[in-house]
Amino acid sequence: MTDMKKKQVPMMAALFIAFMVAWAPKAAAMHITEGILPASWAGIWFLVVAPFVFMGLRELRIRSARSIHFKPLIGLTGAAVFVISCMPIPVPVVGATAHPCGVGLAAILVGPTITALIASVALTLQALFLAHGGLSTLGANTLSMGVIGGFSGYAVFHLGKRLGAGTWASAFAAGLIANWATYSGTALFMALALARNGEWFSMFLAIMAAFAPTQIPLGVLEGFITAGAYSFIMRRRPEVADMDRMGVAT
Amino acid sequence: MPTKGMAMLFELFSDIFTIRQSRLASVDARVKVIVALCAVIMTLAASSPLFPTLMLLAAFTGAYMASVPARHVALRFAAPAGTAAFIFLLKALMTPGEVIGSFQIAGIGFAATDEGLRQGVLICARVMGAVGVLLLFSFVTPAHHLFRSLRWMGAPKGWVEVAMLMYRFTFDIFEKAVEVGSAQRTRLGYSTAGRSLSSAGTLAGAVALGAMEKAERVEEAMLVRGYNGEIPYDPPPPLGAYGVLKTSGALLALAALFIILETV
Amino acid sequence: MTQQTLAALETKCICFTYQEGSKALLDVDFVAQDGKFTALLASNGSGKTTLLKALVGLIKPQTGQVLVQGEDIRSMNSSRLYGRVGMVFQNPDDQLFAPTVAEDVAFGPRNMNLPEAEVKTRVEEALFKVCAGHLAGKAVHHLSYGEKKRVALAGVLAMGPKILILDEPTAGLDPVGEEGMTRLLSALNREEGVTVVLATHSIDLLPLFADRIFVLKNGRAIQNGTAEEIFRDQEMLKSAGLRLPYVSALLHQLKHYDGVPINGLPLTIGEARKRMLEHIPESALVKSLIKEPDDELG
Repeated sequence: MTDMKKKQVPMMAALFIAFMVAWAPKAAAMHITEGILPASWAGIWFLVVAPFVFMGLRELRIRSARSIHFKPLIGLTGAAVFVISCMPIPVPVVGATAHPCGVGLAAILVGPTITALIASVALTLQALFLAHGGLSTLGANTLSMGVIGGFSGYAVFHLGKRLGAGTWASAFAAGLIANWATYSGTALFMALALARNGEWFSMFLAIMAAFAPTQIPLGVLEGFITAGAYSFIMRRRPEVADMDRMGVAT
Repeated sequence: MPTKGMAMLFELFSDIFTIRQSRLASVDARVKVIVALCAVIMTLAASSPLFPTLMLLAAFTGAYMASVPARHVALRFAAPAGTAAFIFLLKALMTPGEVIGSFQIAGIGFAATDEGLRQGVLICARVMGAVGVLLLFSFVTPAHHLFRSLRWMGAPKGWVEVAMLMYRFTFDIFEKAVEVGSAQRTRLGYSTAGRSLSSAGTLAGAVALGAMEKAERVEEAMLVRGYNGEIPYDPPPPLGAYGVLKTSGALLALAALFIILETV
Repeated sequence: MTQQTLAALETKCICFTYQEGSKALLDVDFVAQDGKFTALLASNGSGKTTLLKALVGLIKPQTGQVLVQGEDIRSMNSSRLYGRVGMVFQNPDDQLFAPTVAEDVAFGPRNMNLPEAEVKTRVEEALFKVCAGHLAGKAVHHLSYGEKKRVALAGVLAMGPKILILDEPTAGLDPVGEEGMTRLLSALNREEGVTVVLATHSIDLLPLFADRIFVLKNGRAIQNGTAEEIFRDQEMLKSAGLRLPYVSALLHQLKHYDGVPINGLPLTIGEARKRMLEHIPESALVKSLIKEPDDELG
């Protein structure tokens, strides 16, 4: 009897939790909260993400040596992305509010490695001053948001443009994919940490199912916001499109 | 409108409470960074919920001592507490083991196991304890002390500089976001779903573009004050024998508590 | 002296055109004499911020020269230039980039590679000068607008410039803040001999302190002279989008529309009082009831 229950549990629990999340949306924070990851996993994600942040730092150093404008620009753009990621967006299906990630927009504006750097800073400040995320989960959160979200958004944007999609459509896809990728990463890391005895995949599915009702519409909304924001910038200051080249070309 | 509710978030983000005088606020930030980091690590390593719970209680006590309003403490704990509850359910209902209780919702059966409950409680305690440590740290440490300590500890210079600029300008940019958002709202930019969507995009774009244009002005102001690509900083004095003593004393006390509570 | 004293700051026929083609400055000749208070008066969009930026080398005029004490700024490196010429921008939020007031004010002196002890003294002195000593430990984002404005000035003063350029130093301040800032700049000029150049709209306060006023219109310096000379030419003022100080306008109207024979064109309240009293018979005055404070503006 116990055996049968054990087999049934994951999918059912997932449904139940999805229901829960719809009512208590704040529970599905986009960052992994302090304390969830055991020390071993926390350490592994730090090691995995470190090279990306160092690549960002290296790029910052090289580009600000060539253009003195670069560092203030990154600081300010980072602050803007941070503010945008704090905008509460009403999610239609579940009637809750959630926050956009902002990494899709960041990645197409300043490039993916600098995005990883900005994400690591923003997540540290949030962990310390807002208790969103955490210090021990900083590696995992930077990896899912800054690296997985940032790189996928960047790749999708440039792939879209290469395939001949318009700027708006490419930016939409970047925002959408960056958002979904970030959450998938978060779900994967949580599943790996929480599951025992190799059951991580069913745990992953459960968490994904729990995230889905908020995340699927939120990703679409983030796509719209990213596309709206990017096309607004392009209309007003088209030269900004070259910003991820600043310090490279000049 | 999307900027509603952000004011509260930024009130939380601002280190407003750290300017209040309290005994913990006057402790050297470097000591606090080291001790807090170790406390978080111990909390995560705990195999019983006792040590994490103690950390949580310590955080509440510290917040009370630093006279942080209870409402503020509750607000900051709300999101992590929600996550902890979510994790508790996941653990309790999805861990194989001896079933100690089952129930049905909408025809679906659920079973909580003893092992699941045990793990659920432990992980909840870890989450709340570690969050407590971080929150207490943020209640009693102004941001600029943190940046200075980070530099002193050898954090990459570029990283700290970007962090300082980001922290400083977040507040200005937030104000601008509220201004743009209010201007949109008073002109009915959020009256229908479609308009909301396009207004939110414009808002995000205006915020990002405004920040980039501000960067140009900030850079000019930096240049006329001799900026040459690096923000200079005044290294804090050496930690000193007293600081080292304080740090090691605090760490020893934590370690002792940890060992005692783990073996109980 | 065989040679005429060198102007503290001078432009010779500078022209500047923005990339998109709009002409911001056209053959501007501007002079600020050493130790004097020089004001740039202009309506919005007439090129005054551009001119100020050109004075400190933030933009490079396509033609003409900018001279600091006779030396072309193109031949000066930045630490030499900014050690002599300080610039305070209009929006203080763009100028304060360190987390605390003290750290922000220390930014300039540290960039000058001064020893830390000297940096500390300079920070203290500069904050004291702008009456902000009590703000030293505060976080920048906790300051009021007026406080930010004063701290931004302190950040430049800490570098000890002999020439101080300010863009709209009183814009956005409340009346008390506006007066305080004006007094402060005037004291810096008179007591410490700092050459002050500022762009402003505050016409009513201007005649109190400006030794020389330049009027800018559509990128051209159309007139310069003392306050009396500038405000006499009302056609010119009007064409440049400016007006008389209110007190002068009042007396001007009394004189021209009501026939009160007022001498000259008073520009300040004190002067206007004197001129008006000349026309009020002693017998009509109620004897003074309130003692006059001696620091009244004007």
